[in-house]
Amino acid sequence: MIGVQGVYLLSAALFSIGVYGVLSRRNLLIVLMSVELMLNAGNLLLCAMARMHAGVGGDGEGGQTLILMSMAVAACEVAVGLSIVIALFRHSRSVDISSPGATQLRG
Amino acid sequence: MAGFLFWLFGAIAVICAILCVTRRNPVYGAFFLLLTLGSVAVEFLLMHSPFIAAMQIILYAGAIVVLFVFVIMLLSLKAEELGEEPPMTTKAGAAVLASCIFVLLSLPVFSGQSFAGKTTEDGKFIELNEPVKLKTIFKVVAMRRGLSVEDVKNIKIQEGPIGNAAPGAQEFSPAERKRNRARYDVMYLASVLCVDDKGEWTPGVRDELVLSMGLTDHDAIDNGIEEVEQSMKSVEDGKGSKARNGLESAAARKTVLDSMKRKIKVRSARYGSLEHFVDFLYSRYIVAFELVSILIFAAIAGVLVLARRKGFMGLETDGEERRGGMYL
Repeated sequence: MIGVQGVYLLSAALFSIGVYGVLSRRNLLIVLMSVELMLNAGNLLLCAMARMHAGVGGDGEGGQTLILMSMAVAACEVAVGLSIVIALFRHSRSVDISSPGATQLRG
Repeated sequence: MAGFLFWLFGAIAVICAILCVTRRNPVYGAFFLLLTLGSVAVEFLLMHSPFIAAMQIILYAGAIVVLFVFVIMLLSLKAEELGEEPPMTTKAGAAVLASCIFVLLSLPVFSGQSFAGKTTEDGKFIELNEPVKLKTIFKVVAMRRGLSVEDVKNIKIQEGPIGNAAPGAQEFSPAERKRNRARYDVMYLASVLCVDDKGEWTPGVRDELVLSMGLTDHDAIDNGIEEVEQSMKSVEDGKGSKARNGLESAAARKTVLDSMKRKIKVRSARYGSLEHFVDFLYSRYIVAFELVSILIFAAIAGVLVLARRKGFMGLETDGEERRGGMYL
């Protein structure tokens, strides 16, 4: 049997690893991957809460739908983010977010 | 087994996530990201959400990680283009901040917050997709007839003439007494089957009770109640006292249980199934669904604008190296 507490801990761990990645890395690709990790942690907790509230006044459907929406939004976000990575690379020959070129990106 | 798998894949997810954010080469990062997302998909599966698990694999592994790999291959970064590693102080600060966030987020667990009510007493998920048990149905019958959990627990099986008064009530007129008779019989049978000889709950009954009160499959419970009420009627019509006395022995209880289990048709709940999902995705959440599709189109347009090269169809190039994207 799986407990709510376990999912809570796992989700918190994944989210904080994502925060660490965003804060400590300068490679824009890895930063985007860390954002994906954080989104996934959120999805995991949503799934657990939907499961927990299943049947009490609903079927946990809202939580599950929200996961699907957040996955679609994550896909959009990655597509746009990666095209920004390509634009940055063309601009400054680097994917480092602290490179001189990265601070002057103007489309 | 499910608990073991949960912790196993949870550990894999956390380890691969750490490896993902610490690798210098983004190709390894993408690989470990894929492993993490796969492990999270298994967690979804363990939480009775097979459709979400499938979408996790299709969308994340199939679309997002592949997109990462495409871009990594497209850029084909050299070592000096990967960017500098930040100084150790930055990394240490980030680690401290991340640990603080972890502690804050897991505070509900460590502070012993109660998740009871919607979970079992120790915070475990109530099992879904399991047939409703006969005991549960008796319990629900007793509860719907105005008894609290404590009332059912406190029924003294041996004492008092049955049909005289419901617990908590002092006096009944003969008409009321007659009306209450069937109700009390149900309570009696429920108490015989759900409470053991010492008046304690049979183990697991509380969980089943929570489950049945919050379960999606109301039809099964209603069918069960109907069955129970019919048998109550037969008890009342004829050999009522005989049936009651017969239930005193364990063997007789088992016979009654078995015959009722055969009668009661139970269907399992369908939480998390595709059928369940599509039902409301195309009805109640249709606006959100449409908005997300519009967002995806907007994202496609945005990507085309952002990744576009200067110049018309790549005809005007400034002689630079052809790397970092194709010409549009």
